[in-house]
Formats: sequence, C-alpha cells, structure tokens
Amino acid sequence: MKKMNEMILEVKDLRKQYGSREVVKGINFSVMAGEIFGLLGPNGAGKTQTISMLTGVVEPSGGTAVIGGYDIRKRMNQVKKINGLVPQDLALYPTLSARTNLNFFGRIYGLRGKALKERVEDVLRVVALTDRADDPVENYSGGMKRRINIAAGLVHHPRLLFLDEPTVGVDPQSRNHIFESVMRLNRERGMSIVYTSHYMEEVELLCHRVAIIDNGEIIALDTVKNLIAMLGGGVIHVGLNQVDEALLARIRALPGVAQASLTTRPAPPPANGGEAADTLTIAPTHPLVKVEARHSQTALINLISFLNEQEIPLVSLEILEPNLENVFLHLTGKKLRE
Amino acid sequence: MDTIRYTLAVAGKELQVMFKDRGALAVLFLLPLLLASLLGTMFQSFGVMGDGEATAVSLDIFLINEDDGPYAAQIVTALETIDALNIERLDSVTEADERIADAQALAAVIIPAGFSQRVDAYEPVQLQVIVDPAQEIAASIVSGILRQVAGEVEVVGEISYGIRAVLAESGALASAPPEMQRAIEAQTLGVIMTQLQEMRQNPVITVRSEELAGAVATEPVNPFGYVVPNFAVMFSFFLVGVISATLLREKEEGSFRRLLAAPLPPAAIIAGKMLAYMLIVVLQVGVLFGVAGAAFDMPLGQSPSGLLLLTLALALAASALGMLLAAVVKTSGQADSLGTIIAFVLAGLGGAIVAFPAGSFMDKVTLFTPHGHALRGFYGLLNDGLGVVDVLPQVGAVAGFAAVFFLAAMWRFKFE
Repeated sequence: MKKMNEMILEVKDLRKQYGSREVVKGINFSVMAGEIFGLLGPNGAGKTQTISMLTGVVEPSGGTAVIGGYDIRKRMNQVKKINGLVPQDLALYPTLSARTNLNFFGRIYGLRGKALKERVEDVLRVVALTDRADDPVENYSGGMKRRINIAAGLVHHPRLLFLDEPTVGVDPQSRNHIFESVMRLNRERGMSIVYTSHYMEEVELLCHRVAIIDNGEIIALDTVKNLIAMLGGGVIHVGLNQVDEALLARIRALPGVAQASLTTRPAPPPANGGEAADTLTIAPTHPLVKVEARHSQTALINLISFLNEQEIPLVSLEILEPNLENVFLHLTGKKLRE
Repeated sequence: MDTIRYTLAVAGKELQVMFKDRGALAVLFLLPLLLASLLGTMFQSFGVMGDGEATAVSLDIFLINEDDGPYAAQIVTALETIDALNIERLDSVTEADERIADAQALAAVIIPAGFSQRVDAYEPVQLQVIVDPAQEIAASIVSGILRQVAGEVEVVGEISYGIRAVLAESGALASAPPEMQRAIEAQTLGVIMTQLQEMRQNPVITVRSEELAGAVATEPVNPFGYVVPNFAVMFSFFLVGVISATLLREKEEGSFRRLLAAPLPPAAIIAGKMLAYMLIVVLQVGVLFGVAGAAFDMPLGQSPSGLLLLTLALALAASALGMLLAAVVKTSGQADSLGTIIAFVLAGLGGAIVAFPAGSFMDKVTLFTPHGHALRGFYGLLNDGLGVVDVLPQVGAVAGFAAVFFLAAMWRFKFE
C-alpha cells in the first residue's frame, strides 16, 4: 500500500431515495490513496447503490462525495476519468472478442491508437487472458468472463477502481486469480480500490479497512482487525429453558466472561454449504443468552461447569468465532448471506 | 469534437455487435430481398402491374391436318407463323387425345379431310379443337386464335365462291376453257384481296388515340419499382424492435451502467446507437435497390441525392421510433415482440403491404404514418423521374415523424 496519507474518496452524507424508500441513508466514509476499502453487507444493503452514485450511474438524492479532489455533484465528468467500474453483472458484449470489448471500453475513455493498443495488451496480461483475447467472450468460462469484466474496468488505468461483487458465481481457481490481480494492482500500481462483497472471507483477505453496511447505513467502519476485536474473545450463544436476571448476573461473574445478556434472536440456520462450520447448534429454540467472552475457551469451560453445578439443562450451544461474519451477526442480529 | 468521437465509438461497437448477429442480418437484408424478388417476379409474369412489354408465352398445341387442299395449308401456315404457339404435327386424333390427357399439350387442332373442298364450295365445315379441361384459360386462347385464322381463310373462300358464282351467272366465261376460267378467277381474287388488304391498312373509319397535351409519356411500369420500395420501407421499421431490444438488453446485462460510468455524454450513447441503426437502414435500402436495379431492371430514377435524402429521413424515423419504444417498454423481450407488431401494423396502415386506391379513406390514413410519405417519395423518385426538390415534402414529413418520435423518446427515456 502506498501514499496512504492522501485521500482519494470522501463520502459526505450520501443519500439515495426512490419515492418514499430510502436505500442509502446518509453514509459517510473516506478512502485513502492506495487503500483497498471494503464495503461489506448483505444483498440489498445499499452497496451497489452507493457505488452507482459514486461512479455517476445514478444521481444522489442528497449529500455528495469528493473523488480525486472533484465533487461528484459538480464535476462528475472529471470524476469519471479517475474512476474505473467493474459492475456486478458481466457488462460485456458477448458476441465480440475480449480484445474488441476492451478496445471499445478504452475508446469511451478517450483512448485511441498506440496508447489504446498498449493498454489493452496490458490489461489482458493482468487478467492472464492474452492467449484467448480474440475469442468471443460468449465462449469463455464463467471465471474468464469475470476476469475480462475486470479488465474492461482497468483499461483506462483508473486511480480509483470500484469492484462490485467481482467474484459472484466464480469457481475457486478464478476467484483466487481475481484476488491476486486485485492485490497486484494495489501493490504494484498503487491503485485505490473500493471492493464490495457479501463474502467476509474476501474482505478479510483483501481489505485494509471495511465499512459494514446494512439497510443503507454504515453500522461499523474500521480495519478488519479492529472490527473483529469488537467480538473480544468471541461470542457464545447459550440456549436455556429459563433465564432470569439473577442467572445472567452470575454468568457475567464467571472468569473469561465480559458480558451476558438475553437475546431473543433464534439461532441462525447453517449458511449455504455449511460454510460457517465453526458453529455448533444443538437446538435453535428456547431463551438464548449471548455471552461475550474475554477469552472464549476459558469462558466456555467455566460456563459449562457452572451450568452443570447448578443442574441447569443446556438446550443449545453456539460458539461464534471472532470473524467479520460474526461481527455482522453481532451488530445486526442477521447473517450476512441471509 | 469529443462527443463526435464518442458517438462514432458507440456506433462502431453497435455495428460490430449487429454484424455478428446472423439471424438479425437475415431478417433485415435477405428476407426483404427474397420477398421483393418473389413478388416482383410474380407481378411481372402475370402482368399485374400493366407491363407494356410482350410477355414470353408459349402454348403447346398439336395439329392434325387430314386435308391436303389449299385452305388447310393456309391455316397451317397461319398457325405456324404465330410465335406464341408451339406446334407439333401429329397424324392421328387418337394420339392427340391421349397426349392431351397426359397434359403434354393444351389443345389439338384438327383440320378434317375435305376441308378445302367444302370451303371452296361454300359449304359449312368445322375445325375441331380438343382441349385440356384443366387448362381452360389457355385452351380458350387457342380457340380464339383458331377462330381468327379460320376467319381469314373463310373470307378468301367466300370471295372465291362469289367470283365463281358471278362469272357463272353472267355466262361471260361459259365458252372459255377451264384453265382460263380458273386463271381469271384467281386473278380477280388477287385483285380483290389486294384491295381488301389496302382497305384494312387504310380504313375509312379510324380510331385515333393521342396523349393528353402536356402529359409526360411514361415508360412501361416495372413492378419492382413498387414492390421493392414497399419492402424497403417495411423492413427498415423492423429495426424498431431490434434497436429497443438491444438498448434494453444493455440495461439488463449491465453494460449500459458501464457506459454511464464512462466520461462520454449520455447524448453520445443515444446518438451513437441511432447512427449505427441509421447506417444499417441506409445499407438495407441500398442493397435492396441495388440488387433490384441490377437483377430486375428496377428503375433507379434520376435523383440519387433524392433517394439518399429520403432514405436518411426514413432511417432517422425508424431509429427514433426504436428509441421511443425502448423508452416506454420495460424489458428487451417486450421490445422484441412489440417492435415486430409495430412494424407490421405501420406497414399495413402505411400502404407497404397492400396498396390502397388513390383518394380512398385508407389512402388518406397512410399519410398518418412515415411509411405513406416515404413510399410516395420513393415511387416518385423511382418510377416518375422526380428530383430531389420534388420529394422534399415527403422528406420533410418523414423527418417530422422522426422528430416527434425522438422528442417523445427523450422525454420518457430513463438513463438510470
């Protein structure tokens, strides 16, 4: 990461409203030059709308942003030259070859002649598709299409690249390739990147800082490390038949336990494909006690011993490892992929 | 300058995408060419459009001559000089019967034995015609031709009989030898027939037809001069569905977002798309007119500039209507189907499918479509030798439709 002292993007109270429905509710954040900034949130949280406003695809209903020193409400045409957009959809012309697509996307950024040719070859190298450049895009695999989709956003060498869910529907090999490309663009070219995803693993791997967005609002913003630290030593959800304030107070007093509170949230269902395999669910009903641990292992041992001693039956037990997925769960009471 | 460059970039991309779509190319270029060729050729064959040129018709008939006299020979000679008849001489009526039943000829003409003798004696005699009942019209043509030929022979027979009767009645040649009698009869017949021929060539009563004073004499009508513009106008509006579906598909698939995020003005996106499809219409009309001119001698008129101007106006109207459709429908699927319906309905109302009688109610309705004006312009340029100035009203009307479509499209179109 380079030049982190310079701000490339500053979002100020940005809003988007469709009729009476507010989809982005006055968000604020900034991205430093050379930073990979993550926007993490479930589908419909407002990530794409935010990017659409910052790239000039839709008009903001309120607020503004400054990109590269230009106000998006006043100098969007200058802003567009700084920005690169990789939309969530495969925004390509499938019957044309990759090279023809890239030539076109270069031309609409004012490139032509030798410069255009060089840029096209360059981005083809970045996404490792030089060999297949003259094949129609429709003949590509899903992963290759995603890579050309990224290349089309890079051809004019943007200073700030918006990657909107770039790995949706991509096989693991292509996903890794995309990660490598993103990291190389940031490391070697100092490109600032705004990366949206609902996959916490991607954001944890790639992003220096992350804004967690839900229902059009940013509910947390910090480095990945600091966000995870919000969970302290982790969170344990304990299902019991009966819970009262006295019981909660005794749990709070256990070694390793920082906080204990009653939560009405039912235990979440397992995520797709059992991706959140760090959860152990015994039964998803009954009152649920949320135990925030200073140290999860110590807290867990003491908690189980206490319940045994008191002959309080354990109905369910869920251990939330400290990661962004559980930070989101901790903050919103929802799973990222719900 | 930048806007023009961006417009050309978008137009270039649209054309590249379009030329990769073989199905659309077949509909836009091959189908009108095929239909216009078929329909034009059909009209030309049947002379529906009043083509002044003789149509090459060949009627196969059999001829059985059972008489060796001079009148039978005259009929045979007369029939054989008619180009439209393809005559095959047969020896028996039975064979003719069988072969007509096999549809090998339309009719058989039978000159019976003793035909010349009976004509000479001014006695009733019949020429027999056997016809194929499945070819009623063609057979009646053969009968008509035969009546005409027989009538000539009958006149000669009547006059010969008359001369002979008068000379016999007068007794003037009673004592002359038979050779002299026949020579005098033949000489008299020759004089009378010569006189008759002169009278036919210079009749006492003549019917004179002349062209209306000041009227421009027109060449025989080539049906392609009507059929091809009809298809050209009709199929140029088939682009309406293609334009709108393409635009909406870009929105659905996300590439439109990428265009909006680029530093090109939204006007360049619209202008680029319209320019591409205008070029396709010009190419479409050019190919149709070019092929029809080269292959079917379709008149191309005197005014290439008039044709270009009218074609550009037509292209503008079709593209603008495509934009309007894209502005009012929600999905590319709707645009595809509605575009096809609009193309057919406008072609029908505009007179591109069926020509309406001049001055009729439907003829007036055509003026409420760009098709009606475009067709009037093309007919005038191709068939009546009009120039660019003459068709300016039609060009203006079509361009007016384009302006209305475009303004409505821009009013309704949502870039977001």
